[in-house]
Amino acid sequence: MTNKSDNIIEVKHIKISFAEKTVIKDLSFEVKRGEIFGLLGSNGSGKTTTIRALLGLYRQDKGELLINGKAFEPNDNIRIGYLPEERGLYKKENVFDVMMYFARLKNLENPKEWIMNYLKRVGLEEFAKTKINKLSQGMQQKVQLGVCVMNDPELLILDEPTKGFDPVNRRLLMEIIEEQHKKGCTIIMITHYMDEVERLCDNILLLKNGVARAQGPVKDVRKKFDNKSLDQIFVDIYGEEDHE
Amino acid sequence: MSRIKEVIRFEVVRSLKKPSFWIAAVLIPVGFALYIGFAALVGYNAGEAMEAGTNTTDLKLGYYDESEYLKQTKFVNADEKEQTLEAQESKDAGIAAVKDKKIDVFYYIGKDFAESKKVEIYTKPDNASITDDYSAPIRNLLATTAATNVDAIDFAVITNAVDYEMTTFDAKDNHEIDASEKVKEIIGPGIALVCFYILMVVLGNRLTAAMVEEKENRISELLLTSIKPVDFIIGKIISLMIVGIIQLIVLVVPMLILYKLGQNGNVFPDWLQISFDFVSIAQYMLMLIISYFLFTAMSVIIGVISPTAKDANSYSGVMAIMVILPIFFINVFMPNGTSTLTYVLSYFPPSAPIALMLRGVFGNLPTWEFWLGLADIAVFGLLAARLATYIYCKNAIEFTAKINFKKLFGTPRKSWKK
Repeated sequence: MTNKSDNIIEVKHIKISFAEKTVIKDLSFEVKRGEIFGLLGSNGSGKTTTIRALLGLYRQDKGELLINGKAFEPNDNIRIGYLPEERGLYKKENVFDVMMYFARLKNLENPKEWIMNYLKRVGLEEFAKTKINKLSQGMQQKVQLGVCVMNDPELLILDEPTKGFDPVNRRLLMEIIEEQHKKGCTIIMITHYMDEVERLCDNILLLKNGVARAQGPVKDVRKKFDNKSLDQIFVDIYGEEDHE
Repeated sequence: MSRIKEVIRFEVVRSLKKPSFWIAAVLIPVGFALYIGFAALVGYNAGEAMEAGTNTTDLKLGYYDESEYLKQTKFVNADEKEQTLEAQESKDAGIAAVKDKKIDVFYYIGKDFAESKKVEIYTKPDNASITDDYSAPIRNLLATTAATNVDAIDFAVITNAVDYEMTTFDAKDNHEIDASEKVKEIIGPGIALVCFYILMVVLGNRLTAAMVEEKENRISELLLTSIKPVDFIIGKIISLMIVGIIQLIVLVVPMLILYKLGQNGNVFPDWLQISFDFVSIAQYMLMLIISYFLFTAMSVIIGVISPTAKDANSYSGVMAIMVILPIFFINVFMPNGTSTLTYVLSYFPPSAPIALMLRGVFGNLPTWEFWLGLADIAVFGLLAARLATYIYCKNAIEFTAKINFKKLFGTPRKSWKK
């Protein structure tokens, strides 16, 4: 029996549909406080839908999605960092103003100091007054990442965080994820890179056609699939789709 | 509440930082200032100029009157100085004197003046201009001569110098209608109408564009983990209202100052010399603000149902037509044109602001209807804002597809209910 307070997230028998299409049929899982949780699945398997429902952006037809024991509201005291799959910034505003706006929305103390330290760390100090649309894609990603972690989140949700990142930014992202984790942050990661999952995740959930195909600690899942690599397991599960 | 404040601060500050905002805001006052500046510079007063003609103070004037009609040759010019026409020996001598620059203007009245009723004017200015008119002195002298030939009353009638003073009684209570009071009454709705139209033109597209910006740039998801959709949309609406009011202040205040300066400098034609009824102006400014609120809320609805600015623009066009619909039926707002359509357009929310303002301009809006219309606009503005909020809560992260109304009117997530 799991102690409830150990779980920062509880998803209980949720069903989510759009018009005639049921994206999530019956999904339940828990995420323990302080762990790195990998939410895995092929494109269209319902990962992003689940996260959006968890954050109140979509409405579930059935079941419960709880963060710290209740449905999420942005004004709750929990500090959340979310790097969505579809991410962008105010393109015509400068880096500092955009980060300051989010910092104020997230009630950050000493936002100016934090922003300048972060920009210095990621090599964007001299671009503080540059408009977002004048930055390269990689630079914009660094700003998005800054916005995501600026409130020292207790729960960090990263939806395909390394998508489009060059190796340098990818390493920076991994450093920041590990840093946040060391501070006790719980991390949910949606990714297609199994090396990242094997290296970082404590527990994983493999989602297929709106139901959990496998879940648990990485080593247990691998054991269930004859100790194959996660890459191979992924191919075994989702490769079937191509032949169906 | 603090998050709403942050949205308002961010949106207002970045709007005010845009050069396009100031260009649009100052274009009209600058145009007005240019007009006043130009008018003051050239000392141009159309009415007086037409009456006085070209100033002749520094000119030597000559004449030859073969008909012997003129009784005198002294007249008072536009500078109120006495001038005399010098007699020339003949028509040819007069023309030659002009060509030789001995005189500047030569007037020739032929022997057959009674039949031809024609005066020939010859001049040779250094810089010839089609606006130069040297007929005033001879007209003046001919009129003086005519006045000595006929009865003073006949002369006044013939020269249209009789004053016609009109008194109009009100159709309802027979009280005397003061024309200047009527003009005063028009100022309030007139200013409101012009300002509303300018706000629509200047800010219309910006309102919808501001609403789709988060979707187009994929910012919504990042935002909505930090702020409730309902708080965000309220912040957006309030900030758009503030931006509009600032635009209005930037537009109206310099124009009022320039108007006052122009009035003091006496550079306006008579019809622009107006006294103000500040109660009426205040009432219609209130109507303007509430109308702008309704317009903002409708624009926000368009913004939240559209995935892109391009989609929003097509909806905005339809809305703009509904708003300016009364202009196409302007006759029905006049006192003698009132019909069912007058009331339909006056209380149909999108067209109500312009319809009511037009009725105010034509003096066809009773006080009770003014307040009823204002309440109508305010209530529908609030409903539109509420609907916009509701739709945004359901549609905030719909990045590509147009709105699905079937999906829209399902039950919202509990946490998003205010």
